[in-house]
Amino acid sequence: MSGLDPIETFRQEAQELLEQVEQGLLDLAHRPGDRDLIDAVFRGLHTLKGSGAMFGFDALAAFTHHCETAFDRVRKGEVPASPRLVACVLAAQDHMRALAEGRTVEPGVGEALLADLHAAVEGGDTPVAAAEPADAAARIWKIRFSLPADALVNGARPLPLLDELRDLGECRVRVVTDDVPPLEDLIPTECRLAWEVLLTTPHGREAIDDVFIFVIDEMTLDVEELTASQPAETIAAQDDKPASTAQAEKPAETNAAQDTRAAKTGGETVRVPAERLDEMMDRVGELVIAQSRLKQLASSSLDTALRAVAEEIERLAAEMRDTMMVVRMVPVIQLFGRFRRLIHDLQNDTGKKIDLQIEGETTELDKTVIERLADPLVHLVRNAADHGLETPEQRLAAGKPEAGLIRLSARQSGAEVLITITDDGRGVDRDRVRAKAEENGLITPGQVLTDNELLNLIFAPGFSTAATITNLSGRGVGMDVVKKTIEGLRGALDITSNPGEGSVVSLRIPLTLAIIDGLLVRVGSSRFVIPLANVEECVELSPAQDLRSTGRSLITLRDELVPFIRLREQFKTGSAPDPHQKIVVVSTGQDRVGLVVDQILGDHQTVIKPLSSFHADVGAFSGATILGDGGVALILDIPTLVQLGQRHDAQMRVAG
Amino acid sequence: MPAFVAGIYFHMSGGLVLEYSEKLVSFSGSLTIGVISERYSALVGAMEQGAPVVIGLDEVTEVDLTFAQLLEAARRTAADRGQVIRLEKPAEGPLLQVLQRGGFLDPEDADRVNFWVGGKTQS
Repeated sequence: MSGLDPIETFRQEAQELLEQVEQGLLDLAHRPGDRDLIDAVFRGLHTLKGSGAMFGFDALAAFTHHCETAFDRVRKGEVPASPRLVACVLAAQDHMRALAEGRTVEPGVGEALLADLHAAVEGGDTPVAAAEPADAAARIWKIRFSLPADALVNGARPLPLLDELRDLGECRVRVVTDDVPPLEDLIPTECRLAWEVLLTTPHGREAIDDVFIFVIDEMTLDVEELTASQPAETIAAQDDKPASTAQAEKPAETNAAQDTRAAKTGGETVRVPAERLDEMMDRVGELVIAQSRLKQLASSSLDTALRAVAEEIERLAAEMRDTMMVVRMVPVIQLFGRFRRLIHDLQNDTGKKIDLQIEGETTELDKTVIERLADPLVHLVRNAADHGLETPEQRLAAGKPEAGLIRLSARQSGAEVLITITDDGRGVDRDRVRAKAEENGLITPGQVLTDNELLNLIFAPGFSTAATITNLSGRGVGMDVVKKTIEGLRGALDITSNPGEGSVVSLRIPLTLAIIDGLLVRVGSSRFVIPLANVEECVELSPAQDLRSTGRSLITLRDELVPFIRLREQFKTGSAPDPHQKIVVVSTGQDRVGLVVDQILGDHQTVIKPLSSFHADVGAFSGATILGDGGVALILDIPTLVQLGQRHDAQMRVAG
Repeated sequence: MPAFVAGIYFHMSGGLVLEYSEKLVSFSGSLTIGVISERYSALVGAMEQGAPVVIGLDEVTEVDLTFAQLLEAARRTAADRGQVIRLEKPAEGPLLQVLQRGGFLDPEDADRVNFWVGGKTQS
């Protein structure tokens, strides 16, 4: 479980670089002439190549080299960033990802991609005006560089750097051993070598700096341009002279180099393996349980010092829990970012024009949750593109803009994050859903269903409305898996749809999976936890009210009728109700329901433990927790109970 | 691990001249950063007694800059001490590649080139 595995570190870095390149490429599709984007893509590819070679990913480095070369030509204005070229590099990027991850790749795939790339580069035969006309003439550069002593131990390799300089033009390389100490003082793993290079190249200073881009922070680099008439051997004495020529070009490159540096040093971050965070979260969970035991002991003790310490520890444990939660949070842009690529591919595959809008990308969610949400969201977005959006012709005929819209949005609401996938397509065809459900035996013909129930049939196992199966939306096995995954995250999923206007799929996902604030209640002799985030208010249910509402379980709260469930009856405790029962009003989204309990015991930091597989299908509970006295309390699954309450209420209304 | 062998050299046709005793330090296999500390100790041990040292480099499979740097340090140290150090035969294979790529064979440094490849300069 070492966090220092260099191969793994490289893979993570490669992943980030590829994402960065991908975003750049996708932006380039809209702004093909954007110099900054072209530079960013080039730098990303360049760094990937360099790091790949450094960590022994030779196939990746060799392959990336070709893409980098292609973008180098774009950078120099020799070829335009045509949509075809962008598409080729995007396709090549998937191959790079496979190589970086060490997956086996089909033989010939790389060659085919490179052939496409070559054709795209050659095909783009309308050179834009040369950005750097001065580059056309060969220039001579004197480059001196050395790496820090620990560079070799840290995986830096000077030889590939020299090879890259050779790629730029005619090169004379000379090692400088002045700093190599006598043998007895040498630490053999340290790098005491330096190099002097005379490079004759049509490239500018920027190209040279790019060679050193991923070691520039630590190394010493000195680049001087020599005038053509200046003999190479005499430059040592002429420090000032080349400065003016080199300076002319310097601002752009300096900014770029500084940007890179700023990006690296600006926010100091530590890369920590996710398992360590999970372990730490477990420990915090144990601490919280121990703390609640201490709290219980202290509360029954008269020792004020003990009570003071218990309170202090309670505060610290709560703070630690909160800090731990924040540590695990990552912005959803990590999740949403990848959909730009998906949409790009979907447009190509379906021939539909699709605009993607992303909102609330800074909303944060637990890392584990984000990872587990990726597949369901991909499926939902594909579904929206494939089934939801119409073809451009159909859209124009329906008086809609030619391009369909898919909007991904995220926002925090209490202890949940609400993620919605909205499309402005044709909406769900209810007749087809009904017909399909009847055909599959999910409902009986003519069965009365609410609109919501009908729409939610889409998430039933084995359901698919696509008349023709495409490679996009799968084979009708996905939507039920989507629902299961979301529910596995203690989340909920809902769909609304208006014919001709589009559909909205909403996911409500808890912020974290591990610890929640709960309200501890007693029903009969058992204790239960209600997630505090769902609790709206607590009211007393007087014996008189209780008697009055035996038929219809409804209370009036500020002129609004709220259905309630007697948990005592629901859980068949067989106990007599307490004389002063309480109603805990809970809500999920728009729906509210009251839960009648015998006693409210207080707040409780709840470390969620999953139920065993035997109990996994017990709908009303989402997990269990260990209490301070060592007892166990079940955690109520509020969405299920609210649904139950609403259904119960609807039945009562129908009954009259 | 390198072997230490006292060398006897034959000179002139048919005649035997016991010129001087050389220490042969043989390196083979991987000569990279992962094992360079062991190689370093072997070389330091061999050079300690001041006798001429011959570096044998048969069946070398992998070389990196640390090895080139090690021999550079040894060469310069030997020169300072007036000690003789040489390669058994000119660098070849992976070592030669590292020397070429790393700029160790620039004709400006005649002594260095002579040490590594017996006077042949970089092509």
